[in-house]
Amino acid sequence: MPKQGPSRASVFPTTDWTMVGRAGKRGGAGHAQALNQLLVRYLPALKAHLTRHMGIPPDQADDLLQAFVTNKVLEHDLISRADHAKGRFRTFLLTSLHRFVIGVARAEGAKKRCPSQGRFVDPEKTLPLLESAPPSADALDLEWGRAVLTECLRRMEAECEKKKRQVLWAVFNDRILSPALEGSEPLPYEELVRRYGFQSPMQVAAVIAAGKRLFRQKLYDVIAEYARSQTEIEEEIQDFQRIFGSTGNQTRSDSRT
Amino acid sequence: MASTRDLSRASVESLGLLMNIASAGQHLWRPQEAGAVLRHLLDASLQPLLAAGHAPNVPRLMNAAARLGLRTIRDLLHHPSPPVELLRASKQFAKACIDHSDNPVPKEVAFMLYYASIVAARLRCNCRITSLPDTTLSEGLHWALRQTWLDDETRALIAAGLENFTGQTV
Repeated sequence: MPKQGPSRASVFPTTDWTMVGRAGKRGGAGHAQALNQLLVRYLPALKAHLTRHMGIPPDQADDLLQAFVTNKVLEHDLISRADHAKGRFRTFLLTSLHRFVIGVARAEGAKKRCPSQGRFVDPEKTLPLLESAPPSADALDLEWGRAVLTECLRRMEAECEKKKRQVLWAVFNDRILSPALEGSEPLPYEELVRRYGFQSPMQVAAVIAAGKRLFRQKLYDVIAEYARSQTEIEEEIQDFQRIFGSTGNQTRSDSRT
Repeated sequence: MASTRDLSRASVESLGLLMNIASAGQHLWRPQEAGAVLRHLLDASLQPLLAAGHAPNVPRLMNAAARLGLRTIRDLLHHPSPPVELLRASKQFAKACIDHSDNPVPKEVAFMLYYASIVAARLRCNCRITSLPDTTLSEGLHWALRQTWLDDETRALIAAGLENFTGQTV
């Protein structure tokens, strides 16, 4: 299984369905690399889905994903059956994983009389949950959105560092990011002026607005790497806003900046 | 500083707030910061008023300001005989801020500068630089005086303007 972690150069390296096509052609040029990139991109969200939304402990989720990749993705060429006309690739993966976990849970149930054998899932807890409800695309989308935002912020910070715009990143962090993530108060205006030496409110406004613009640009950039059109980018953002319960003008009581 | 890797534990509400950043029309300012922003604006250089393109013959105005020792917007508003063109530029700058969707200063602060510029032109230059009817202007000045975050110096200017324009005293 590919290494999972946030320190990669890019989690969203190229257009999604192009990569899916290459990953689905066993023996084709770039097959192994495309498959590896796809797994790097999607497995963290799938794992989060298993742990957060299906209640499977993290170490067992890793084992399940390992088995899913080995049995379904590698041995049964799962990726070659993905069809972009039928919807999002991540929904296809989620549905496949859901079926796989049901199969594993049933097999574990059949092995109940052999307690010495290790279990991927607890069939008594997991099977009723899995069989009573279809896989929740929203739950996976939530994890996917989390990954997209993480990547977006990583790129924004990296660009600020590279272009020596550390003040922009710091102000964005002090006024917007920390309040949103930690529920803290935005850095008070007077402290902002003192800390960064702003000469006028217009200068402060310009830096805050530039930070927001850069964040928006990075968000679009990240989504554009797997969406196929401007319309799909807009739809993806709308979907994230729906899933995160944001409306486009909602703020945490007093977190307007 | 928040780490960009903290999102794995971020709540759905937090993610929603971050997504909102991607939406247009977000406020840059917090309502309780109006007083601090006004003080900062008054102590800012005159340059932004002139650089915004609302004043004709900027070099001449800058020279006039320099001769009178006007460095800041506060200096301009409280000088006994400021150049009226600079007060017009100040009013136009404030108006542009009011109309600007991203609000380079909070709207209420921009309104305050707008009214203060009009009043200063009337009191110090005996010049009316607005086409607002007196009743509308009076309402605006009353609004300004109701703002608790208004500094004493500007409050005194606005009060004097209200008396001059309407004969009303505060």
